[in-house]
Amino acid sequence: MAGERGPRRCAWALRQLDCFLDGTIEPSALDAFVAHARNCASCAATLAAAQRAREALGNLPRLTDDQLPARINAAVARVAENDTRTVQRSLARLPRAKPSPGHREALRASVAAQASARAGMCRTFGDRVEALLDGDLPAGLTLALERHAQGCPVCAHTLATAKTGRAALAGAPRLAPAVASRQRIRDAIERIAAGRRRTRRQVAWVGAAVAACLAVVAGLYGSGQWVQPLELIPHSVVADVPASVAESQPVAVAPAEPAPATPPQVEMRVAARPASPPEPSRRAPGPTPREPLWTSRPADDAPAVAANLEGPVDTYVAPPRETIRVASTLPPAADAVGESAAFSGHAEPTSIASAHNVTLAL
Amino acid sequence: MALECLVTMGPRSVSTRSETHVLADAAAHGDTVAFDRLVAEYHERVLNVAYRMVSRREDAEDICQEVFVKAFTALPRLRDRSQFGSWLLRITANCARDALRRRRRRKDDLDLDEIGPVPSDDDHARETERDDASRVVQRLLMGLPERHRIVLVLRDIEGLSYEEMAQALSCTVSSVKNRLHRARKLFRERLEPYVKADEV
Ligand SMILES: [Zn+2]
Ligand SMILES: [Zn+2]
Repeated sequence: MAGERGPRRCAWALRQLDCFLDGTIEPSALDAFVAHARNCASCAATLAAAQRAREALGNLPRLTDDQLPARINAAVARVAENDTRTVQRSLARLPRAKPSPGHREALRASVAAQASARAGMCRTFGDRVEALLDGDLPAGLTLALERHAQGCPVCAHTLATAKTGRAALAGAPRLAPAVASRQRIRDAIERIAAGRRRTRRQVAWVGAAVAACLAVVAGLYGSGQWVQPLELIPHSVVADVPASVAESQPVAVAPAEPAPATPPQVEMRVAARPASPPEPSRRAPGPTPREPLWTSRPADDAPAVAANLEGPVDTYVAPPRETIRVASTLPPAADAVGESAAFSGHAEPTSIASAHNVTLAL
Repeated sequence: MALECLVTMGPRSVSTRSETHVLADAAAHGDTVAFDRLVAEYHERVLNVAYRMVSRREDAEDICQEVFVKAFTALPRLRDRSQFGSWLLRITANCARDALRRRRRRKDDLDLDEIGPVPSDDDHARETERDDASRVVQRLLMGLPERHRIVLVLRDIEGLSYEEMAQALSCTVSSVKNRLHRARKLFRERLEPYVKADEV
């Protein structure tokens, strides 16, 4: 036990100090006290200071003058100061209290929790700032986020950026449609509409003409005056009729459907006609459409365009440009219009503007 | 019935859905006057959506023409004609996408420096600061993936509702919201360096 060191031992030694100086220390403690004071510099210093203080007090002159209280006070102050320093020094040398591993872990967790709460709030803010601007959040969360932004420069900047972005998009300058571009659209639409009307008339006319021809042919055939008017009948129709049939059943070849009264029906029938010819026996000499009838109808490319228009934006695959063009750019107006004008015999509105006025007047 | 509507409607008026429906019905039956009214109604919006998607005025005007021609051609096959507006924007988005693809094929990709201020008819109203800001906005938009750009354009520039957007983009409202969320986040992150820290 002798010479034992450590903070507990120092505390014990300091408690024995007065008894030692008074000579009332327990004999059992004396050796241990001395041994510690020899080995412990700070207790030795404290002991020395205490001894000097005792001596100073003991040597005080037996004065009765007025200075006595002041002298005593000064002497006590000196000792006290000395002791305080000594004690402070010895306390500074005490080993630091080490927190237990559990305590350290708890401390670390608490610091991390604070940091992550802050970071979590920042993350929440980043996620919700648009909803915050839209006013879509519950009141409590709105308040919490607003408060957070007031104390967090990062989130304050996020909020400012979001607001600036919204304002910039909403206030983005707008293009005004040019008059020329509007007119271009008008012309294109009018061309398409004219093309449709023309097609209907052409189909009706061709149907009527072919029917009339066949009626003539049938008439001639029936009366025995067959002169082979090949230039009036589509070549394929005549060529495909077996000679025997043509000889023996002339009337059956010409059912001569009357020209349909409603052009749209004719148009549908023509458009729906299969590309491969029907059975020869059922083949009646119907209208054989000429090239322009097929190309000017958008029906052929309808599925492609429809897919284009109905499909979701993301999965949409661009159809071949050529397909679109069939619908949007019609056959050159010059020859087709000449033809149809000859057939129809009445003028059609040349621009939307004129049609416009007429309709509004109604 | 379409005619009453045409007469009462001013050229600048915003059609209600039912008016649009009536006009679209008439146009589907070949009424070019009714269709012209629809063009008047939607031309500006189609032009601006197209411009925001492709960033070149000439290309945007070509897209406009393509959109209206396709719409007139396909209108007879549109079942719910009250949705004409959203349908038109869907065609616009598809046409813009085609235009961008053609551009990529031609190796004619847009140079971001090419983006100038939006041409304005009123020169006196132009301010360089505003021009700079609008240029930055357009460059940032062009930097976004198309699927994100279109939602920002439709929502934050054109002000469409979620439902209209869902119709125009052929998806659900919730997927519109998701896309918009991501688009805005991307846009904000890229805008951040341009916004001064003390600007609130
Ligand atoms: Zn000691
Ligand atoms: Zn924050």
